Amino acid sequence: MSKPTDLVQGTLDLLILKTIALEPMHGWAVAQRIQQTSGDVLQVQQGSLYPALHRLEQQGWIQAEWGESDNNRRAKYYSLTRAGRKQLGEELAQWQRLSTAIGMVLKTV
Amino acid sequence: MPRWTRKFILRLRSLFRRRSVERELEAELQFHLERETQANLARGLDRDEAHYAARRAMGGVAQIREECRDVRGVNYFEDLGKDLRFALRMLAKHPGFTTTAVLSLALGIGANTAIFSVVDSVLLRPLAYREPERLFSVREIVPAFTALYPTLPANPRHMEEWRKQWTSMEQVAAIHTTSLGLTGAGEPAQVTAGLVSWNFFAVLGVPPQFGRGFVPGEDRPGHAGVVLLSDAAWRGRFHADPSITGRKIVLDGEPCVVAGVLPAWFRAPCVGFLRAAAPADEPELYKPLGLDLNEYSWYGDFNYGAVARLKRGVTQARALAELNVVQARITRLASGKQNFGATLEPLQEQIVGGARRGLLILFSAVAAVLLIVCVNVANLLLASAARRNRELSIRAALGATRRRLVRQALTESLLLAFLGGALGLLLANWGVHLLVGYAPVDLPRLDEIRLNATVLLFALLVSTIAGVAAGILPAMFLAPAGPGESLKAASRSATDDRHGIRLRGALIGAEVALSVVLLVAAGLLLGSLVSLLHVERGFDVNRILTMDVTLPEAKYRSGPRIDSFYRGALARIAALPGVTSAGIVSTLPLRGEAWIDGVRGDGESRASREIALANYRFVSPGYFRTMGIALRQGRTFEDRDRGRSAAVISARVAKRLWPGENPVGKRIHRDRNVYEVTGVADDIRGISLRDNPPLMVYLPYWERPRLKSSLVIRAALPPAAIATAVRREIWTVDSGVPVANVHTMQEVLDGSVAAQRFQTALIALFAIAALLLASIGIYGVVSEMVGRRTNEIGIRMALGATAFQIRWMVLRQGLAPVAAGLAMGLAGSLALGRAIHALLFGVKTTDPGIIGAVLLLLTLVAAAACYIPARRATRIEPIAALRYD
Repeated sequence: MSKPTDLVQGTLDLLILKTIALEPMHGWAVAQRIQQTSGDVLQVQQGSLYPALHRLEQQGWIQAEWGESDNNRRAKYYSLTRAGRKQLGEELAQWQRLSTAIGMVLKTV
Repeated sequence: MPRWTRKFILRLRSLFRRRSVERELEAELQFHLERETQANLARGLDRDEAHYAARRAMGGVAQIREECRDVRGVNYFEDLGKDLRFALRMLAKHPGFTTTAVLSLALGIGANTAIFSVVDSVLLRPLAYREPERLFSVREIVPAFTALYPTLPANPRHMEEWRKQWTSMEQVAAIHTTSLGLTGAGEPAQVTAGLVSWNFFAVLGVPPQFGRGFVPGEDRPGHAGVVLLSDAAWRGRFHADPSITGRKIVLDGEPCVVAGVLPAWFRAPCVGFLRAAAPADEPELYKPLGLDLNEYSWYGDFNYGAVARLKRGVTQARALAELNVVQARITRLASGKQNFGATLEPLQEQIVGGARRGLLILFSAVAAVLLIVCVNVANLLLASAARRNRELSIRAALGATRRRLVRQALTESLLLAFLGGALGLLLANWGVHLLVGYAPVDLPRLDEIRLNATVLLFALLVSTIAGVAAGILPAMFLAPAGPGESLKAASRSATDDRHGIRLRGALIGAEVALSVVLLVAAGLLLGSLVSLLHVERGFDVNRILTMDVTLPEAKYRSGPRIDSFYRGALARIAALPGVTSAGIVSTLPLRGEAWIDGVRGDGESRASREIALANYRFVSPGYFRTMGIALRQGRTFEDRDRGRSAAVISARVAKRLWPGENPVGKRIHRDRNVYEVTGVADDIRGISLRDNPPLMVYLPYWERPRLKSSLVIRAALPPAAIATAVRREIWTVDSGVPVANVHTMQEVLDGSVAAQRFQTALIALFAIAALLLASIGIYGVVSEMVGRRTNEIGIRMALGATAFQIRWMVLRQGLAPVAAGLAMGLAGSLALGRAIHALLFGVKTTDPGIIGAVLLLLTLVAAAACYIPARRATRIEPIAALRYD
């Protein structure tokens, strides 16, 4: 199994941050939400989802809490910390810049 | 909660609540699987299908868990434990390898630690003055003397002006080292004493360990009857008497009250000498100076070491600029005949300065040995890594990253280094005792050298560096680039591990180069020592006994009394059976410079800055015969010259004052004193063996009867045998006269080169160690090469190669890196020559004999180290070799 490249990893972080910005969510739901909202284009590799979640938690962008899930099972819910919200803003801006830039290049060529 | 606290708590939790973190991770992944299974069920899959689909989607649970652990930083510690256990198993499995590596590391680290503990005790810790960075040694620049002495200690009147006008200075203190006769504490003794201004210890920031320090006013004449003892004197002479304060002792006949005892660690800064690095006896006690400034002129008496404590925040440059302004004012006060200047040197520099170059070289030598050890261990590791290539490939194939493999390799080398370091500490402990046993006696604080916390820390640091240095190359080069490649490489029997062999060749080259440099350094220093001992001295050392006497001032107040003592003693000593002749001298040869003053010929009217400066010695007529100093012209002064003001000058003085003329009968001037030259003596190396013979003027001792003199006695018997008799004769004349430093002149000579001898011996020892290590390294690599190529050599021999051809092939390949190393070493030793130039005497840095001998020695040793495996190679049975894999 090849590892996700840096770009994908960085993007995954952004997607996770953005997704749980709406409400606290457990890992499975994060994967589902990303898949759904991208219209099934983005399949989150589960092999990279949990390491990414743990890394973001370790970096202090998100925090985890155990709670009841909709089917009455205990699940680990992730939510944004205040630092994470700031980080999301920065990463969004970064992404916008990058995609605009790429778009411009592609248009001129 | 701020981010970093959150991070910190998480870290701690992953580290210490590992079990529950793991459980949570397990539960989280389990939950994910269940949800996925449910979703699959909802899509209409049957139960088993749904379960398997979920598993598939998830991938390797173990990998995910591993990665999560990695992210949490848990693995770091777990891996460390695993790596350590694995490394221990590997080391235990190869006891030969482990023993060699640990022993050589122990040697290298031990030697470094031992030398460091000496440096730490002798040089670093005496600087424990308060805020030492604000302390400066002040010396004066006096134009008249700059030809001989670029800087001089300070004049007390000048210091008084500094005290008044030099604003960037907080305080300035003076010290003058002298020798006093101590009575009232056992046998009469002569002790080195520091005469200091009252604030000396306050400036340094050194309070006494008990009792009181000096107080203002105690350095005024007539108030100076107090004394501070050094810890050594207190323990050695007063049996560490706790009630010593207030006790009266007698110094030069004058009663003094013991005010306190200085801390054991205290050592006086060496600031009061003509040359900054002049060796000094550590004062045993301190007494206030008691100067009457009116007795001092503006121009002479540059005899007082000055230590200034600058105000906080004042730079050295600004302080010096201000001081020079004050010096200019003093120049005007002194009616402008001399433009006085000054220099400031940080006290730390001043103390370490003289010893710095020698120590640096010693340290470099021992560091080079450690480097060679590291290279050897790296070589061993490379060999073992090559053997373990298959294991490494399998680990890589199973998913170990390159980084992980490097870490494993480093753990192994670090483990080796720490084992070596622990053993090295034991060696160092033993080595320090050895060092202390053999070190020259004038190495200060010898008794205090021991391993302490600083030294332990140093050993730890050195071990770590050695471990990384030895491990990093093998780890980087042999961690396979990719699993496929390395498995391919490992499946071949390694006849052509070119990479590894070339690297090991380079390491051998480096080792040889370092050994060359060390051996050349040792050779040059040894050569210097030999030429120093064989230099034309101008005086004898055989069968001459010397001793110092100090007459108590209270009893010997007048010149005639002193004169009659010496006359009586000399007559009695000369009459002893076994004594050929006897004499006295104010300062023995090889004891440095003393009594420097101008010398002018009759009618000479040179500008004051061009006046020749000579070392004056006050001697008895018998001195020349006793010391074997030959007279070139004229005669020595004799008893009948009393009242005639006679002088004997050295050949250099004669040449300087009256080139090409006969000086006998001419007159010389010292200030306003006039002496008639009765004879010209040979030049002698009177200051030290290293220094060229100085201008020397000998005056009869009765011209200026001195309380302190050295006796020299030429004996027909072994000198030591007559020492007791001589002492008895002195005490027959006066039983209250202390006699000290009873040595043969040979011992004085040995003592004057003891430090150099010691240093040379150490460097030679290190160089030999380097040579041994290098030969072991070469032997190891060549044996390894032969071992790996058994197969190939067998084929060659089966095809008809002769034993000679095989041997030649092995020798050639083994010696190729050695030759490269010799070339590098040669270049290195030329560079080294410039660095140690100042330590050499009588040998050129490019001495072809020494360098050639070193190159030859190394070539021979390397050839021997190659020849043993080369011969083994030719003993290989072709059939056995072909079967060998």
